[in-house]
Amino acid sequence: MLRTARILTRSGADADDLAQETMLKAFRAIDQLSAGSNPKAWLMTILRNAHVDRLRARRPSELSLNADFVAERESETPPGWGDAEQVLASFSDEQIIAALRTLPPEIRWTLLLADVQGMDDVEAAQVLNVPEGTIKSRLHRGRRMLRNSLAKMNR
Amino acid sequence: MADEFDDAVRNRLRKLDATPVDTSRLDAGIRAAIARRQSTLVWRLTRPLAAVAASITLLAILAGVLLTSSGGEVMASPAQMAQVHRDILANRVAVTKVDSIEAASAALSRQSGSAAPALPQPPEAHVMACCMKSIRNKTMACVLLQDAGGTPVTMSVARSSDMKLPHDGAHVARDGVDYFTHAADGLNMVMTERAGRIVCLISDLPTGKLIDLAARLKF
Repeated sequence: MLRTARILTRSGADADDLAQETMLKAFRAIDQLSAGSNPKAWLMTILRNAHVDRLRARRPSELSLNADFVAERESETPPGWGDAEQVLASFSDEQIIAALRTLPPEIRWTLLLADVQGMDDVEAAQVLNVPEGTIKSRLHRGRRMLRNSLAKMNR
Repeated sequence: MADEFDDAVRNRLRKLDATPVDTSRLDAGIRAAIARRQSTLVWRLTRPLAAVAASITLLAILAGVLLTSSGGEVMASPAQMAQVHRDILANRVAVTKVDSIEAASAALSRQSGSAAPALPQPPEAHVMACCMKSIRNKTMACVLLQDAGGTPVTMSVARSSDMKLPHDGAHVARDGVDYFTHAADGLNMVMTERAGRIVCLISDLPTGKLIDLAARLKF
């Protein structure tokens, strides 16, 4: 959870605050976790809600998807990305995290849950409250947007 | 090629979950926050162990909850229902804007087909939005209403075969119908079972007004 908070926020102190708030909210709301619930998805939902509330208070504009931004990010494969595994390995964790932060929030969250946290489509859909199909399409788009963001960094 | 690329990105991102993090500040913060919240003598005496105790308690409860299994019916707790209402009002769930219960029924049927339970007709209430929620894979239709005074009320509807009423609330019988009232997170709620459906009204309206509203639902 702290790792995820670090990716979401811009400073270690903010990440600690976000993770702490999430843990305390989870502790207070433990009776909302029903039998058969997925605790990881439940905790990530609390983390996401806490993060959204913080953004809403600080920078409301970060909550909306910019269609132009999305379209611009989904261009063709950048040159030099023939062997994606090798190219991606050349970027540091900090660079990858910086590129993730450039993505629209819902795309970023989808990649965080599915690719970083290793949740399956059902779990990620539960946290983000969207259909599974939306997760699949966001992953497809998000991975390409991340690639293009990294390619811009490398120019 | 596309699959290889997707795999490459997924594998690279997965490695971010293995980066070391320093949890000492978080640990200290949680210890301090829990210590502030707890004021009983016993807790004060065990303050140095507060965070550890809290963690153990949380894990124990999580494990207990996970080990508890139930039958086909799911019981939605008042706290969960309150959270549903809060989430809808705070735009934390995707809702479809509608202006009538018929439009809400049509929208929910398009979204969920036969999984959407039939909605009762509310009286004199402005219908604002609707969505489907899922609790332990049991679906529940939620409709955001506004009463004559402009107060938002969430009406959730589930099939009786999917959900059951928590019977620990106060019981009110009116015209042969049983209503169970609860309060959670500053909200009042009234639950009833009629026509094969569990209906829950959630709002910060007084309980009496919610019972009035529930009594005038047309099934």
